[in-house]
Amino acid sequence: MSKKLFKYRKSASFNFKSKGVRLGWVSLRDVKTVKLEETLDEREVILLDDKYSPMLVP
Amino acid sequence: MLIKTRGYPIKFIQTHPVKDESDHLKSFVFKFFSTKNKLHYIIRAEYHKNDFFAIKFYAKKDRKSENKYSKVTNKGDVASILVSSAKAIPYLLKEFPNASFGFIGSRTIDTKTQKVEDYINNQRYRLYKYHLPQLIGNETFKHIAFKNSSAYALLNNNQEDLIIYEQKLKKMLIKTYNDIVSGNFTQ
Repeated sequence: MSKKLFKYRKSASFNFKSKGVRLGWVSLRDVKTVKLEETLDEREVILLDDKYSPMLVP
Repeated sequence: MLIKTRGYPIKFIQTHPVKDESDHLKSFVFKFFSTKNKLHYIIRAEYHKNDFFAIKFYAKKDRKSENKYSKVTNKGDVASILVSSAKAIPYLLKEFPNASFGFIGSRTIDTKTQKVEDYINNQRYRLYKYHLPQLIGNETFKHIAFKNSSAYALLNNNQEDLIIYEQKLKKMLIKTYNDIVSGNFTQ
């Protein structure tokens, strides 16, 4: 069997070291002003699972 | 995944008076030490009108940074740090049995790329939403999550009318912290 068969071959994508684009992340220079009052309308009441007893406060 | 850690013991350090005219009345400061990542942490429980505490915490080494609440140490031990910080709640309830509490997930800042995380549903908020229900029950608090501001509130069931109380808190927080979602980042 030829040794070449086991020779490691770099793939075309191997040279990219980027972790990818983080969705929603913006440059510090592009941070937009958002007011708290614009963000509080949508709320979700969290219902807790009774089978777990909370660790710190009942 | 269930929380298995019991966190670290916290130690009350002092109260800080607030001398401005805002609804923030004073701050209670605690500390703890992570034996895993060898960092000291500071917890600030900021007491406001309407019996409300905003809970904040940061690694002590970042105390002089304006971005201290947005930094990531990248040294792990996240669950223990969150459990330890939440221990301020039962401590404060002894003195303020009707108090409510709130967390706002700060937007993570990446100093290398000079980028900042989105304010909606950010990673700290996702941690709070996942972990706090395992630490704090609904016998004492009503849990409310605000995805669009990455905020999590624990409203004390001792309050007479929780709907009116929630409106009061919202009004107060908007008046005091209307810019908190944008953040105030320094490069």
